[in-house]
Amino acid sequence: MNANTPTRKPIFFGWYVVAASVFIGFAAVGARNGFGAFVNPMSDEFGWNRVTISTAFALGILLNGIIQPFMGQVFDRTGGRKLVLISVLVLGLLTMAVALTQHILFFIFIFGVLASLAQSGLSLTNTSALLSRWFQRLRGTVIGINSTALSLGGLVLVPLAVYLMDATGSWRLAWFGLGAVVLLSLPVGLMFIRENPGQMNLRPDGDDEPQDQGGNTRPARTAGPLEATSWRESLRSWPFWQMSGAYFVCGATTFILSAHFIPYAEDRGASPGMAALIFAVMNGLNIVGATSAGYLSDKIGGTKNWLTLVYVMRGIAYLIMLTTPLISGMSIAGLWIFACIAGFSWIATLPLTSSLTAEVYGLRAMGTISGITFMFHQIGGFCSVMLAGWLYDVTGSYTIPFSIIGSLLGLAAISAFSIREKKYSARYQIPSAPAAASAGDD
Amino acid sequence: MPDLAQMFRMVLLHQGDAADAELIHWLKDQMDEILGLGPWVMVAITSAIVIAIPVSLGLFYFYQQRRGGTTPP
Repeated sequence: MNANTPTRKPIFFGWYVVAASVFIGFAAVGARNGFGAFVNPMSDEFGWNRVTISTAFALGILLNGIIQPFMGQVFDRTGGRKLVLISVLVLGLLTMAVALTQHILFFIFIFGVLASLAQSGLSLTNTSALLSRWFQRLRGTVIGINSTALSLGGLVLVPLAVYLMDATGSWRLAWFGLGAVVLLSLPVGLMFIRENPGQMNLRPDGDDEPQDQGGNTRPARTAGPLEATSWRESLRSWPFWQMSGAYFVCGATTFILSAHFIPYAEDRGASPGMAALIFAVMNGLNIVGATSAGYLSDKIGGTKNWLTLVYVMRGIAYLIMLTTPLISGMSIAGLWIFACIAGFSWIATLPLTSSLTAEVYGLRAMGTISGITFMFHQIGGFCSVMLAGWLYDVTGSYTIPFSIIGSLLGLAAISAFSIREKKYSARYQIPSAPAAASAGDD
Repeated sequence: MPDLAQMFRMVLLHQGDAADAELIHWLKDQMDEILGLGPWVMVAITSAIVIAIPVSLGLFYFYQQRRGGTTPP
């Protein structure tokens, strides 16, 4: 290389953090969602019924939602790396330990309680908070990429578990294999999970030290007026409640369909296979929706507008789903149109809400604030499934519960749109005075 | 006080796709029909995909580091 050759800009280490985070999420979600593959063989061996074995899974989901704010606080206080690495190690060992199951109480305690707690340490709210320290301009994009771990884990590891059982004839070996996959992500985490770019003398997004025209160092961004040093401060401001309210509706409108879409589609004349395929397509579109929503909000700006659009899209999808049976011959086609539109919006709210949280409240308490917001999401989901089940029993149809829950999307869109992003988001604050910038601290 | 077992059943419904054994086995049957490969071959393919991700990430990182392309951790 001669002196005139331009130096190639190194690959920003933050991208390795993103890759590591996706792989860890992929392994953790996959090990968890493989549960369905084990229901029949374990029930057959021990004589458990479906409800008994499913209690472990259900307990885990409840614990996961409740514990999230506390895990977020641990994340904020410790910086994240230790929590992530310990959670990976514990989750991997516990998943392997499930192979030793001889009694239902052992299974419930190991898989339902301890493994769920370990998985909370690896939740997307925590890893999104971690990635938010590494990226400012590309925050939505990387959180969107990180969210794809949700779909990818199930896509690859659930078939692995099924075929491992089929090949070896042993569900114990399959649990051991899933645990090994989780532990495989430990060296990746050890190597690449770093708490913030400042630890490596880097700046968010891999940017150079920003300088003013006189060559003095200046801050890349100014903190927003609501920047929080404690999660309690966020509770006293509107954006927190606006985002949490919208997220409540997000949970309500997604969980209700996770639970009831397939029976609903069958009610409309779709075969079970067709219903499952429509649902699978909708889930597959998650990946496109989450990554493109994050990317567009970074490139064009106006995160709250994209969030509003996502809720509006989902509302239109609900409207199509509920009105197409009125048109002759459109019953199944309506389900496909719904799946295509709703699929894009399914987890697109996650990168948008997380990046907006980071922009408004900063990063010091982001793990906890996101954990609380996530809890609202889970409560919304829980309430909607209960309501739909009850109304189905009363009316004999899903039309009324879907209409009620779907109409909440209008409120969610208004709630998201009314966030005063330009006033509160750090993205729109103008740096006022020259000062030394601290890398990795928003 | 709601019935605890009923509550768990409702929570389980939230994650119906993950917990639904029939759906997972239906998907496996579809894959078998389309691909027509034995279980050990499928295990080998999926395991290779899973292992290839961290290995290629590590190799790419060291390759970049040797070329002076990134800051060492």
